[in-house]
This record gives sequence, C-alpha cells and structure tokens, in this order.
Amino acid sequence: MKWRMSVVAVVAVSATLCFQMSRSSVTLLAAQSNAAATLATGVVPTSPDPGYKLPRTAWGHPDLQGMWENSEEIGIPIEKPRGEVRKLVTQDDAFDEADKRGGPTGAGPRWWYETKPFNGRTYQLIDPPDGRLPPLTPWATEKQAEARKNRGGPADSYLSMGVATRCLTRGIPGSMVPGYFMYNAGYRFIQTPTQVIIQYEMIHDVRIIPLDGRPHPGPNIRTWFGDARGHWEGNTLVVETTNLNDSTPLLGSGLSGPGTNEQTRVIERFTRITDGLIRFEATIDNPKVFTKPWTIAIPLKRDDSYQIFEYACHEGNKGVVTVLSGAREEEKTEKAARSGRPGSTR
Amino acid sequence: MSRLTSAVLALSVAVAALAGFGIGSARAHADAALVPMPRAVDGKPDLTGLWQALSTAEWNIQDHPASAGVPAGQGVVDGGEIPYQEWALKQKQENEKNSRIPDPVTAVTADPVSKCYMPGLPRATYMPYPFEIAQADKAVVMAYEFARTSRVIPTDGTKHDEGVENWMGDSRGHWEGDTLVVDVTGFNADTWFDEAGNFHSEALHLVERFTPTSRDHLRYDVTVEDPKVFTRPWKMSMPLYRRLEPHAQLLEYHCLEFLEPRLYSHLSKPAAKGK
Repeated sequence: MKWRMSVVAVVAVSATLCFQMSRSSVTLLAAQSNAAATLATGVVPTSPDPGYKLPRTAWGHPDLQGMWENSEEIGIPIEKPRGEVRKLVTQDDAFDEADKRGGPTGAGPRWWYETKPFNGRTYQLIDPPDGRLPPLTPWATEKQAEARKNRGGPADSYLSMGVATRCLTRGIPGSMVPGYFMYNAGYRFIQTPTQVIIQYEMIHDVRIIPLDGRPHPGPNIRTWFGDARGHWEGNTLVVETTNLNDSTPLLGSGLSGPGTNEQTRVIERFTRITDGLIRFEATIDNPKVFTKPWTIAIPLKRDDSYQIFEYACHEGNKGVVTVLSGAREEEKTEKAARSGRPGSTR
Repeated sequence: MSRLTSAVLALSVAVAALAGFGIGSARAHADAALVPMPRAVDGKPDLTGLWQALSTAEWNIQDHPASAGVPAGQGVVDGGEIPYQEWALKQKQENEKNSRIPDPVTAVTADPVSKCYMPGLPRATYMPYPFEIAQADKAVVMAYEFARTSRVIPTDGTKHDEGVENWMGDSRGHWEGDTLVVDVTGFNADTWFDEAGNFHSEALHLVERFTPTSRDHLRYDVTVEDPKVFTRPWKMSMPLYRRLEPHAQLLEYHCLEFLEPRLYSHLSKPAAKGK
C-alpha cells in the first residue's frame, strides 16, 4: 500500500515538473509514468492521476473508444505462483513458461507469435489478497477429481481439448485475458449513448452491451458468451454477465477445473486511468465452484496502430482433426506392431 | 363471348387486381410512414435494433419450388436471372448437386455453411437468424446470431484494406441521404450466396444499401459485381424487418457446438465421447 502511494506521488511530481510542456506531452508522460508504475510494482493503477482530464463522449460518458491491447500480459498466470516468483520479461521467458506447462495444443512455432516487451507482472489476482484462488466447494472438488479421472490422454477425443483450441470461445472474461494465447490480444471499443460495443480479435467476437437496464433473458437461455448488461458507476463502466452455459472456461484455458454454470456472474469494470491505460477488473462470482468471489486486474494499453484482422479460427482449424487422426493412426501402427511380434513387451 | 372479349375481360380483371394491390400497398406504406425511423444525434436515421429477413433467399436466391425441408420461395434477384459466365453456370449446377450430397460420416455438404463457416455476405443478412445493428458516429456494427459472426463497418471515410482476404469481406460505409451504403471488397472465394450453390470468386465486390422505409422496415438492395464469375453486375433486393417482440435481443446460434460431434466423434476414442 505504501509504495502504491509513492508511485502516485512520483507521477504527481512529474506532472508538476512538466507543467510548462504542452498538454499532450504531459498526458503522454503521465501515461508513461503509470506504465512504469505497472512495470515496477505489478500493480495496475486503481484511479487516474490527479488532474487527469478524462475524455468524454458528446453525451457525457467517459470515452473509452479506440484500439486497446494487452499482449504484455501474455503468459502471466492468474494466481501467484508458489515458490520462487519468476518475472516474465522477454518473449522467450513467456514461451519457456508455456512450454513448461505443456503449452496449448496445436501451438505453432515461436515466430507465429506477436512480440511485445512484457510488463514484468507476476500474476493477476488482486482478491483474495494472497494471490491464490479461494478454495473450491465440495461439489467442485468432486467434479474436478471426476474430470481428472476421466480425462484420458490429450489426444483421446476432441472433448479432451480446450474450447479455445476447438475455436468455440475463450469465454467471459477470458476473451480479454491473454493467458497462454500468444497473439490477437487486441480489442476495439465503440460507444453509443445506449450501448458499449467491444470487438475482440481472437475468434472474431463482438459484444453489443446495452446500458439501458433491460432485464436478462430467462434462466433457460444460456450461451457461451453469456448475457451482458452495462452501466456507468461514476467514471467506471460496469458490465454484469449472466446466463453463461455449463461449458465455458472462466479464463480461456488459463484455469482448469469446472467453469461457468447457471449461478455464475461475471462483473467486469473498465476505468480509464490515463489516455494510454484502462484498468480492467473482473470479479467472478461462482458460488457453485468457489467458496468466495475472486477478482483479477489487468491493464489495457492504448495502441492506435493496432489493426484487428478477421481471425477465422474454426474455418482454418486443421489442428483438431490432425491431432485426433494422427493419434488414432499411431495407435493402429502400435497395435499392428504388437500383433506382428507376439511376445513383444510393447 | 369471343376470344378477344374474354381476353380483354381477363386483362381488365388482372389490371383491377393489380390496381387494388397497388392501392392496398400504398395504404400500408402510408400507415408505416406515420412512424419514421428515429434519428441518431448526428441526424442520420438510427438503424439500431434487431433485424431479420423473411425471405427464402438462404435456400435459394432465385425462384424455387418446395423440396424436403426447403420452403418454396420467390427469388430476390432483380429480373430473376443471374448472369453467370458459361463455365460459372456449370460450376453453380455442380455446387447445387453437391450441396445435396451429405458426407457419409460428418453429414456436411459442399455448402460452406454446412461446415459452420462464416456465411459471408450478403448471405449473413438473409439467413433465417436475426442480426443486431449498433450505430456509432464513426462505425456501424452488425452482429449476426448465426455462428457468432460480426462485422464492424467504419463510416469515417477510411479506405479498404488492400490484399487481405476475409470470409466476411472488408466493409466501409457512408451515408447517401437516409441510406447507409456499404461497399464490401476483400472477400475470399470460399462462401456461397445460398444453399443452391450460387457462388462468387475473390473478386466479389458488393454495394449494399440499407434504406429505412419506416421505423420497422429497411429495404436491403445489393449490387453484386464479380468480373471473374458474372458477365455483368446484378442486383438483389428484399425487405428487412425489425423484431418487435418485447425484450427481443440477439441470442447465440453457435453452429460449431452442434457440428463438433459429427466432425470429430469418429476420430475420438469411444470412452471419451459425449459430454
């Protein structure tokens, strides 16, 4: 807490020193100061710098519009790692980490991936404050054990593969959490007086989030992306998502175990901290799985040069078929080898 | 009655019927005109809302009789005929034949939509699923219920991306009076116009026009240009209807979710099959 205060103080001093500079330079410097704060402490700033003039839309809402990205969060885990905490600084650090964890199925060569300097953060959870997820409920513990027992090999079935590998979704809030997906961490925000639209490059997802307080649909309507309702709390956009199906992982493949269900509520909070930074916070209230709600915070950086291209995930997905057919072929070969050589120990 | 007299009589009945239809239709338009499309802050018609076509164009954009699972329908192509080049007409007929032959294992056909691929344009507009329009000052967003497809259409005067192929193309919009005009290029050659195998190449260029005719109706006119496949540009046209049910909203038809068991089960170990 103490160093967070001092970071704010440093930023304030920098801003004062630059008082004579043009407004845009000051803003830029403030943005850099905050970015530096993120890098140095791993803490995403919670409130704007003193004196920051929040841009507003013609109708008075805080203006979040434009291109944002968080590829510097690639490879950063949700939970505080046990034992020695390794800061991911270079792209290779993240790749090493991903390799260590098995990496995503169907992952390509390293040159596929988008390179950005990392921000040095070590994990994303801010609540519980110890950086570890709350304990699972007895129901979820049982489900997880069952899932582990029945999981089989990674190439046994398409169902053994993650829903993102199958190009279904990375879920909510997973679509904004890079995890071990090494590219496409770009998001476009568009606003109208009655909606906020978020376009996600990964799996070409778009959410049109109404701000008019309309009720969620009935509980039997359940979807992969859930049903989002937004409102402004002061300068923070708050989005509540319910009606999630039983199949969506909470954070892409970054978190194993039981995911969403009929009781899951995801609360996302977007606060513009500087011209260059949005604090994105997501609280997962999932009483069937976790004994307490938990919250992550990650930065979204402004990048006007970022361009979203159409990510035709399923259309180009050869991975699932080739992994499965390769494994079946391998089994056939092994079986033939065994029957061809009776007494073989294989 | 002489043959001529009966012919004249038949003609006048037909004319009267047409005139009657005309009056009825004019009245319907007059009623609808009482509630014009609301306007956005910038004065443009505000197309925000949930929209859906009620044509049978998804099955066949041309006149067609009913067949198993396919409702009969009148075409949406101006003049009825699509000006295919000779080779392309043969290809279209081949496509149509192959779109009726399901794969013995996966049941997918030659129709790209049977594989849950993004349907491309203009097909996404008239599939029998709703789509939502959100209209901001520098972009119009269209989100389609089928296969979670979407497009963001900049209306800020920016130019097309060159040299990039997309399933949904590259859309750029501008307003001509009260009409939203969307110019689309940058397609791949992998989508069809309908289940009947009407197709295009990567040289496809569309000009879509969304014109409000009342609060709850849009006229959707599309000019289709593809010098590699057609002998000249041609047009299709249909109304789009606002979904007026209370609380109507975009839901999700995640096609792939339902296709996966057919695509992958035969390659999966039996023990791990099913959820």
